[in-house]
Amino acid sequence: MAIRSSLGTFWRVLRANPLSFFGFLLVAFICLVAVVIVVAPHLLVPYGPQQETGAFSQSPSWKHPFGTDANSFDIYSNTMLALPLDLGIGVVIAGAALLAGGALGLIAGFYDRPGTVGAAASVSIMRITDIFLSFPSLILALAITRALGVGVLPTVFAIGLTWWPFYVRLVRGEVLAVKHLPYVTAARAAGVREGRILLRHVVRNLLEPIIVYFTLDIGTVLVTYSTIGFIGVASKYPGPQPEWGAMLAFYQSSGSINAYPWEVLAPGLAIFVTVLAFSLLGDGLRDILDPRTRRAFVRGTVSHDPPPERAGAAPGSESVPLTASGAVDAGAVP
Amino acid sequence: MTEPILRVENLSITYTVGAGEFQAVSDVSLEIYPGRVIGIVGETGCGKSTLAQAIPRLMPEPPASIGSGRIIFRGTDLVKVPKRKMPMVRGTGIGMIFQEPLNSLNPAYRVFDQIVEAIQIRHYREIGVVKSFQGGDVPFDYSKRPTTTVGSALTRSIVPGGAAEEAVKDRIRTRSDYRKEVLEYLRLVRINDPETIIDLYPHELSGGMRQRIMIAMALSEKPSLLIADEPTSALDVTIQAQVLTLMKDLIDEVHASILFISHDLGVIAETADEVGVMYAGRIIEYGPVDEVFRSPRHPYTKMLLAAAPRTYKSDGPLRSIPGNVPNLSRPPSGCRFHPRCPIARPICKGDAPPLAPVDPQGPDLTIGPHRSACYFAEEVPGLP
Repeated sequence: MAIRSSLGTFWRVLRANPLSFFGFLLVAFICLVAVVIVVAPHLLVPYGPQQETGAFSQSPSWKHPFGTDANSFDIYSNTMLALPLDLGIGVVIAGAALLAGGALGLIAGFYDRPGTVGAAASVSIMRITDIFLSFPSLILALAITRALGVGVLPTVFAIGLTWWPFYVRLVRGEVLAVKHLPYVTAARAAGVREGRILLRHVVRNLLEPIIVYFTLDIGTVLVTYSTIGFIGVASKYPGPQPEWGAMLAFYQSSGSINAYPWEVLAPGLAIFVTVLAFSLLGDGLRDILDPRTRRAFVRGTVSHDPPPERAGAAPGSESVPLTASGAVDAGAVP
Repeated sequence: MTEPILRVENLSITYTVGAGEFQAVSDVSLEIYPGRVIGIVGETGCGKSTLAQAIPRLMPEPPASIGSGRIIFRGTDLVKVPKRKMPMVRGTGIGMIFQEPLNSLNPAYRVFDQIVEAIQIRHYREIGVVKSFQGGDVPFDYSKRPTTTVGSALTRSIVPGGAAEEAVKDRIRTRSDYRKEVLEYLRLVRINDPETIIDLYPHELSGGMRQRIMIAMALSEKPSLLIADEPTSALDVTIQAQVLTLMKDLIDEVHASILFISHDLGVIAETADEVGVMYAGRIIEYGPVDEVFRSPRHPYTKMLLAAAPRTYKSDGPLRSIPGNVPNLSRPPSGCRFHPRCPIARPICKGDAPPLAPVDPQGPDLTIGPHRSACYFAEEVPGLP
């Protein structure tokens, strides 16, 4: 019952916010397409990655929606076939960075009492993070990729290695902001143990900014990977496994953009749409995860539901009898 | 009478800030007996909140540190208890209600989840799933807690803890068991329409309701000592009165002792049995609340009482105490009030006056005699 009601809330928030609803649909659609391409590519893609069609450098037509290139490869097919890889790379790198950086950030933020082991660990974590952050992450990732050799896995590893420090800093900052709030002290006063305080009272209140950042970050990772692909270090194109960045690089260097503009259109559009979808989803998730905005969107679920709180929520003001509390207060104590 | 629940002996707490350090609480002693309400009153910065947080060891250490003294709670010196074991004492042993009702509830959880967390902590300790605090030689026996009489249970809201609770004590509770119990506590703190309130988030409640939820949380753990740190300061006067009435009722119902911290003399007069007046980290006067407020025996108390505004009479400008609260990194020598005191003499700059009984011949009451830390306590009644 609880699950159904929270799904209902989810649905109502999405419906109340058309733009993030659109983002949510788009992400769902993209994921579905990616799954279909992995499972049964022939349903969506007429040609293989290196299959010659016999039509050289054709402009878009019904048969070739995004045209063909000088090798007579179908650009639409190659773009679609790159989707699972690019999507997977975005989710895997951002996810790994979230888990690793998030855990380190929690430690660095929560255990900072001077003179303890935790404090020493926190300081070490933050200094190592600083070292990583002092290099431009794209250049660092490029250098590491180059050192490890060309290919998808080295690139994923390299980006992952440069990506976690952002999460450490984000999570640590949020932990520092939350852990001294009165409700954390109140939980401690109630006898809640430190581990549970960290998970239930601190982490729960970080989720909203972190998840929003994560969804936006999937797009950023994708762009970074494509950039490295564009430079030509990550994936080979044309090849058995196409990738958007490598496609862009190949088409803008091999042919003339003036003569065959459609060649770069498909991979560019694919990156654009995917990044946009995750950005919109991130905005929507922010509204769903925060109980304040969530309730504001879902007026009418509870009989006493309050009007949306004023902007900024005025933490200091206590003149917020949002429910029927005025009446409750007045008649409460005999 | 029996042993006190809490005995604080010569407690000093020092804050180290940058290179300097200052003593927020110096040499404070007090005793709290079962079922009594002790008030601590004083100006902002006199150390009363530090004292309140120090007893369950909630103040941040560092910068704060306990310099000397003992905090004996049910026979155990809490100063010697390792920090990682302190959660066992908190909640079921020493409960706490905070100043900020608006931020003391986790915004991410509904009222139900907030209170259930407290109930679960107590429940697990009661059935022994989680170790609870055993005070010294005397293990705390929950079954010996006095239950309400039939008469009071019929006329007012039911205190959880009766036979019905015993029955479900030993089995795993379901969500609906917990829900029932949470609803009982919501009724206990006089929340109207608890069935609706239980599913709301903190931001949907008014300040008074949030404060009552806080109180319900603290009470649901059935602490033997409840520390209320300015529980009503952030509330309107009307709601303040309700919360105070409520807390007084609850003292009888759950039979807890209360340490009540406030800067509001009226609130203390209304709730406390005994009062300690704090100035610059020290208790400078202590005694039964009526006696202290009717015939204060320390010039500071006298002036503090005179400075309290009375709404019903306007006899000229408000009185104030000349001078400022001393800087605690360099407190004045001797009696810390002497720079502002109208009857200060050279001796006051020497040794600090002890907190001595005002009337050595007076009856030694169970709640302790009226004591004052002033060399000239007998002159105080003559002050304007």
